[in-house]
Amino acid sequence: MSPLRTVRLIARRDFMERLRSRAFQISTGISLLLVVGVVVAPTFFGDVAGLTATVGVVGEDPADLVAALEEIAPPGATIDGVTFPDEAAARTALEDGTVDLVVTDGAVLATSETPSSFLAAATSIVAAQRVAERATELGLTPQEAADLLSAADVPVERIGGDGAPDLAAQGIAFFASVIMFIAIVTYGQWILLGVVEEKANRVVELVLGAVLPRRLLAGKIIGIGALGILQLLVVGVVGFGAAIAVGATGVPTVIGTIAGSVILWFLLGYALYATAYAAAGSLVSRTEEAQNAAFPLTMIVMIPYLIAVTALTGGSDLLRYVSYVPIWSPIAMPVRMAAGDAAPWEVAFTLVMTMATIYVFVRIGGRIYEANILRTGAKGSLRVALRSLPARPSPRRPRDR
Amino acid sequence: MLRLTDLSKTYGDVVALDGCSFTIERGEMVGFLGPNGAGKTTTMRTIFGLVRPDSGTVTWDGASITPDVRLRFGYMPEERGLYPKMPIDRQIAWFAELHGMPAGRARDATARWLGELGLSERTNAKVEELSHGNQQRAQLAAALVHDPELLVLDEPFAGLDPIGVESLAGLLAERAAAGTAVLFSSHQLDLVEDLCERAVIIDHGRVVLDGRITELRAASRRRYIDAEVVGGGAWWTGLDHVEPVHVDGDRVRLLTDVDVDLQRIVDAAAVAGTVRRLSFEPPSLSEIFREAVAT
Repeated sequence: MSPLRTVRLIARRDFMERLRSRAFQISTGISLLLVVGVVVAPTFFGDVAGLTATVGVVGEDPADLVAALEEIAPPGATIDGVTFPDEAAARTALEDGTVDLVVTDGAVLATSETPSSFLAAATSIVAAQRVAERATELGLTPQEAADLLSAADVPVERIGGDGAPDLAAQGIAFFASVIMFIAIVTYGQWILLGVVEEKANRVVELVLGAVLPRRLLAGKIIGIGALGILQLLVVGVVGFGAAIAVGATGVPTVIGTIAGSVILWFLLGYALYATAYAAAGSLVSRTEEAQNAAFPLTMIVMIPYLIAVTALTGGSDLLRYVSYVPIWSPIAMPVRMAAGDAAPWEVAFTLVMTMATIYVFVRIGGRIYEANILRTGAKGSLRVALRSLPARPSPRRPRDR
Repeated sequence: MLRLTDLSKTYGDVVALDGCSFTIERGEMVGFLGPNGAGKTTTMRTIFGLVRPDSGTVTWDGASITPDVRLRFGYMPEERGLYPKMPIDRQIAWFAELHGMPAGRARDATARWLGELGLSERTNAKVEELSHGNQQRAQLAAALVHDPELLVLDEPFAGLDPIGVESLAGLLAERAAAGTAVLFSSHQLDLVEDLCERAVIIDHGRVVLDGRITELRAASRRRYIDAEVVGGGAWWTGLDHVEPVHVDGDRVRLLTDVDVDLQRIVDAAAVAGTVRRLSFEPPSLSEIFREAVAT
């Protein structure tokens, strides 16, 4: 039988049985709820589209104030204006919370909850009025007063990049690092548990009576990896759909540009850590020990993740050095790429180094797995694992032609 | 034909196999006997490439066993194990496919074997939901489903009730009659004697006896006389080369050897009392076994 068919049969079993398992369905359901929640929740808390504010003016028409505030408010915000007969009525309304800000006789009344941007806008409007009044008192013509005021418009120019810092890209970079970390740790643990389960209930003896260990390992890694990608895609598509549905503008275009690099680095990171998790699983004999076996690997993956989430602005030197370490590149590089901080040579360099490391890991991890998968009883350790590596290439079983 | 030649394997200071050699023909059912730790399981695992011997070879039909050849073998390991959460029909069909059967034939063979083993009612059940006896049957189905040319079963009768023993014995005899080479280990020596023509006895990693059970018994120099002599008393005292093994009233089991003058013994019994019964038999397989592994 062709090795390909064997590997496919094993991959299919691991894919299908896990897909059918209640645990997988529940974890996918929770992921979907979480991603939809993260995308949709802000609209409920009025951060973006649902903002409403009421502003008042004592004894005057509030139209000018409303117009000025609408200019600085986020798109979709509603600003209502009211007129108060006297200051006492305005103060009562503020205390009751029916109004957020009141302008009266050259002063601004606000509460502790009034957004500071509103307060600043209202203050500058009042200040401009007072300056204009004072200018008239000093004998300036209305034209001269306007000239004087226009001097207060200070031009602002941001230097560097394409202008404004790309906040959306940084947000996506943050999500990229979270997704890479969770995906590699989760799917790595699936492999580890799958290996330990086969070993603990001894079915591995029956399977290996018919299949070479490295084909079993290859099938398991491919099957679980395929299911992992399916889960990522489903969660990603649903999250994307939810973002479009609630009109979170800007997100779709950014996701489009980084999706490719996230998927590429996920495949590399998964390939890198999959054999490591399988090798760790082969060292223990009981499911109870599986968490202990996974712990060191999870810690290793966590280092670039923590550095990435704390260095969100991009351009962090520490994150840059970490991204050069092949075992950490898959988590650090997509973050740097999303933040627009990675030079093309860096991308090429880390890709090559990571692929070389994958080759080494597959060789060593596969060897540890082969040497330990049939061992039972004595608890495995790294020392045992290293001893299990033959000093010279071991005599192979005859290959099928 | 399966041929094991001079297999040796040590684990640290422990010698598991020490020049183990024997053969099994197609259509032959061989009982594989030996005390605990003699090397039976290691030998079986070597056949499936699960143990790499330090030296020695295993061949099938004269050629070394490649992964493809091994697909034509069926195995029931000492430590039973299937995927606990996978329904048995899907699982057995998967094992059939893993042994090279096309999907359609794998499904048909699974249905046939589950029916034959009395599991038709439970095809959708997960393995972990099955009783111990039914798990054992499912394990057997995994070994048989792809119609193997060689069937290797490690302690297949352990834990079965007498009815289960009988139906498994019948099934194995049927497979051997159909041309399968069958090797199974067991500590139930009476069962092996009933079921097998041939036995291989292993001790300390090497084969100490190998042959047709009737010939092994006949080859022994020991003979047992079972006699019932009414009113004979201790009629055997004074006879040379005759030792009582067990005395129960008028009945006695005597140990003697193959060259003894049987006529003289019969005469002594007849003179002493009324002979109701007297047999002269080679040792049973259990006795042969104890003799062979005593040293």
